[in-house]
Amino acid sequence: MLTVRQFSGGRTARLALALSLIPALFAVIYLVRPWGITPNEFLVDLFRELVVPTLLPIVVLLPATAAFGNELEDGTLPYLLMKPVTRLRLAFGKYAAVLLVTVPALLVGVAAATLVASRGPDAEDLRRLFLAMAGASAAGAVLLGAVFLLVSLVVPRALLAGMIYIFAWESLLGRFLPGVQAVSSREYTLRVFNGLWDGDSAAASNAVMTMVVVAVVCLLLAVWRLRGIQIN
Amino acid sequence: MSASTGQYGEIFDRGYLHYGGPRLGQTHAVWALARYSMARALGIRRPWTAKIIPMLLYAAVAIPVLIAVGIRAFFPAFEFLDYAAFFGAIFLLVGIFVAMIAPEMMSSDRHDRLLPLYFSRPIGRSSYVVAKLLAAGLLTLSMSVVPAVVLWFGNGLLADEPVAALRDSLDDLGRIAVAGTMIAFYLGAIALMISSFTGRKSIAVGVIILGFVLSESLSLAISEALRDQPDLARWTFAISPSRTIAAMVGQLFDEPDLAADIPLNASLGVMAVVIAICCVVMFAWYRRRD
Repeated sequence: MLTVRQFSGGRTARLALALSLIPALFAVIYLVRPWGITPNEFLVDLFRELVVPTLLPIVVLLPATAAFGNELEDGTLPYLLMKPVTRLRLAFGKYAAVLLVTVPALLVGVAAATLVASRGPDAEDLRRLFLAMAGASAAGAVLLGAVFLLVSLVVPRALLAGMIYIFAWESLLGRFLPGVQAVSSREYTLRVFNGLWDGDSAAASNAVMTMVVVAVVCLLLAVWRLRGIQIN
Repeated sequence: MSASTGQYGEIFDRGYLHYGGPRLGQTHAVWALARYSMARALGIRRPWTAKIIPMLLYAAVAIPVLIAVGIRAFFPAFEFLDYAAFFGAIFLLVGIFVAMIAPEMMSSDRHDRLLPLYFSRPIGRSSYVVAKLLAAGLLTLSMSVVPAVVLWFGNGLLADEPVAALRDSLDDLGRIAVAGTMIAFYLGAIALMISSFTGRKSIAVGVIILGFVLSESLSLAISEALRDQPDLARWTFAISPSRTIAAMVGQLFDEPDLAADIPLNASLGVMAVVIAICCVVMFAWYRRRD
């Protein structure tokens, strides 16, 4: 499974890291010329309005759809399937690689933003906020990574489909039809964040449980789908 | 290579025959590449899975227009979708559209290592870039101008005196043409430039969409930070394509809320400068690479 890490180790990881550092850029702007809100409010706004709806999905989508997508595009997936490795291990290995690339990058990004913002005027203790943001990002990555690993095996141009889902479906329809929010990844990520932030651990763990279950189901479906691919 | 009379000469003769047909010249080559790029981006002559997303996007932009015309047919007084609202609403769709077509045009040539093949043909480096720009711009017009023209035509036909109404609203048509063309080439040039740097379509798609979304937040954050200097803060629109387009559309169709006090010349100028920068970067980038 080291080969799996190799693919993610290079450019994709750097891209994920670079994208994750964007919130820190916003924090720097805030730090240079703070506009009348406390660092606390600033970080919560940043996380709710920028990180969860846009940044997190894209950072996770890039490697998740590339994991099998690139193999399909280059036609190397059959070689991988010919190896004496079970499909289950293959799918989980790819999934682990995706998480290995995205979760640390997201954590570094959130930590950098928190660190920069904590130097702002009358900063409170931001440790709990940081933990809430970190936990929610990791949970979001766990969910989205699995879902889009599956999607990339079913749909060609999975990334584009994912983007349309994230931006058109979740942001536009979610605004008009509240029912959509019940199945929206963003909603669950925010629920984890709110749970951790308000100290309501039951709500957070509930949401995390749902996300993990969905992730596992998606991975199993991916294994099933891999079984259907012809090697010749 | 002159023909030798040896054993293998015959094969050589056939292989190195000169082209005797009509020579159609550079412009034809550019146009052929542009036409091919457009067809490929739309998934023409490719499996049906490549056609789904273009179809979906066209449907997404056509449905509101048809609904708007339909509503007008029954309730003439009811203005469901005016031009400013239309151009404001399609930013996201056009953004996704260019994020779909531009990587298909640029990145796959890189990924499949087709560039040396192109450049060893009559298509040179600059004409390659010109062809791609033309293809992206023209194709995006079908997303930005065509639906608006349909809306305009529908509005005209539903009036009491169709011919007179169409003639009277000719200036609206002009505005639609300006707004739609600028949007198409502006977003198209940005997307092409981004995707010319990578051979991976997926990365290009991600960076383009993220760029469109983030630049808006970034420009709002900077303008918030510069609140005490309104003159400077007003110019932050230039970093964000969505705000630039909103400003232009607001001025063109007389919607002060959208325009946000940004003069028309400023927003048009920003777009022209961005297009020029993208072109220069691409020309330089493709000239450098072997």
